[in-house]
Amino acid sequence: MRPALATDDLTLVARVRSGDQRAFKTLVERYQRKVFSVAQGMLKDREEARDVAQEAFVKVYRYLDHFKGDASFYTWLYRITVNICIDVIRKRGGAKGEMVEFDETIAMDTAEANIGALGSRLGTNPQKSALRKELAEKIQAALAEVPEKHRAILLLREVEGMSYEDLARTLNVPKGTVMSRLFHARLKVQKVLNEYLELDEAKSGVGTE
Amino acid sequence: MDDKKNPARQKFLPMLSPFVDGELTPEERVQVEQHLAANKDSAMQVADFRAASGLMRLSMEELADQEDFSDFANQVMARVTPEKLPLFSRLSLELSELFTWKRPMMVTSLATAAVVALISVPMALKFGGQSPGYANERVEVQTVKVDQDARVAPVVMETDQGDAVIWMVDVPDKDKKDDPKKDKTKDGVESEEELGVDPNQQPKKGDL
Repeated sequence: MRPALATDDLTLVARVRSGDQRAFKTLVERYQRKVFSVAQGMLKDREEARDVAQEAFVKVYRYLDHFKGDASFYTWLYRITVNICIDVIRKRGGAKGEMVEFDETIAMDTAEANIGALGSRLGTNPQKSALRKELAEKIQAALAEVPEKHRAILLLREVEGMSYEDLARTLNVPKGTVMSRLFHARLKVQKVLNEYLELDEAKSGVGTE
Repeated sequence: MDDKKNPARQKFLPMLSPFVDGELTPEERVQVEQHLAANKDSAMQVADFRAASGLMRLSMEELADQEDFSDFANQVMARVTPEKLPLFSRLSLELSELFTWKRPMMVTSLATAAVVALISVPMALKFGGQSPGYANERVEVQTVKVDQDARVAPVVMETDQGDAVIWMVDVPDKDKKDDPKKDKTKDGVESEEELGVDPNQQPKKGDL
C-alpha cells in the first residue's frame, strides 16, 4: 500500500483544474524523480530521459481534463511516460532495427539464466557493496537488452513498486501478461548480469564464495 | 535438474516472480514456500530474483541521485504556463531578447530619446518652469496709488487662501447722481452705496 501523502494526488488534481498552478508544481516535485528514473531505465540516456520526463508532465497538464479520476493519478502519469518512451525508442528503431519481443507462449527456460549465481554472489553481505555498485552500472546494459514492453513493466515494478493490478491498469494489459512479462524480463536481466559476473571472475581469477 | 523433467518446478515456476513481489494469495504463498523447501533450484531462483530486484532499485536510485532536480519543476511550469514566469525570469528574458534580437530598434529609440532630451532640457531651463498666461502668472501687488483729485473707495475681496483683490472704485459726485452715465465706473462696478463700502476704508497690509 502506498503511504498517505500530505495532500493526496486527486485533491491536487482538483486544485490544478480550478487554476491553482502551485498544486501542479507540487505534483511535479512529488513524481519528478521516479518519472525520470523510469524514463532513464527505458531510454538509457540521461538527456533524453529528462526531456521525456518533462514532456510527460506537460502532457499530463494539457490533458488533465481527460483524467477521469477513477484510477490513480500516478498510474496515468506513468502510462503517459512509458508511451512517450516507447515512441522515442521506436523512432530510434528506424536506425537500429526493431527489438525482437519475447514469445510469451514459449515455455520458460531458466537454464540459460544460471540459477543461483546472482543470489550467491550478492547475498546480503554488506561487504559486497562495491560489487553491488559496479553491478548497478551493468543493470543499465542488461535493461537495454530487454524488449521495451517488458522493460517498462520491470521498471515500474522495481522503481515505483507498482502492484500487478496497477501495472495491468497502467499498461492496459491483463494481469496474467504482467506476470509473464515480469518473469521473462527478470530472467533476461539475471542472465546478462550472470554473464558479466562470470566474465569478471574469469578476468580476476576469483571464484564464487 | 532439467526443468522439463520436474513437473512440480514447471508448475511453480510462473509463481516465483509474484511470490517475490508479494502478489500471491495466502494459500498460494504457503504452497510456494513448501515447494521452495523441497526444490533447491526454485529456492535459488527466488534468491536471484530478489538480488536482481534490489540491484535494480539501487541502480535506479543512483542514477536519479546524479540528476539535479532543483530546477526541473520550474522548467515544467515554464512550459505549461509561459505567461506566468517569475518577474526576474521575465525581465531577464526581455533584456536578453532586447540585446539579441531587437538591438537596432533599441539603438534607434535611445538615439531619439537623447536628441529629444538635448533639445527640450535647455528650452525648459530657458523659459522656466511655468508658461506665461493669465491663469498661471502669479500677481503680487506692491503698491496701490490713487490720483490726488480722485475720489475713490477700495473694494477688497479676499480669497479662501488669504489673497486679496483690491479694486479702486470712483465715487461719483452727488451732483451727478442723477446722471445715469456716471452711476457706474468704466469697469462697470456698482457705486459705493450699493456695494456698502466705506470710502474711508484703506487696505490693510495683511490683506494682500
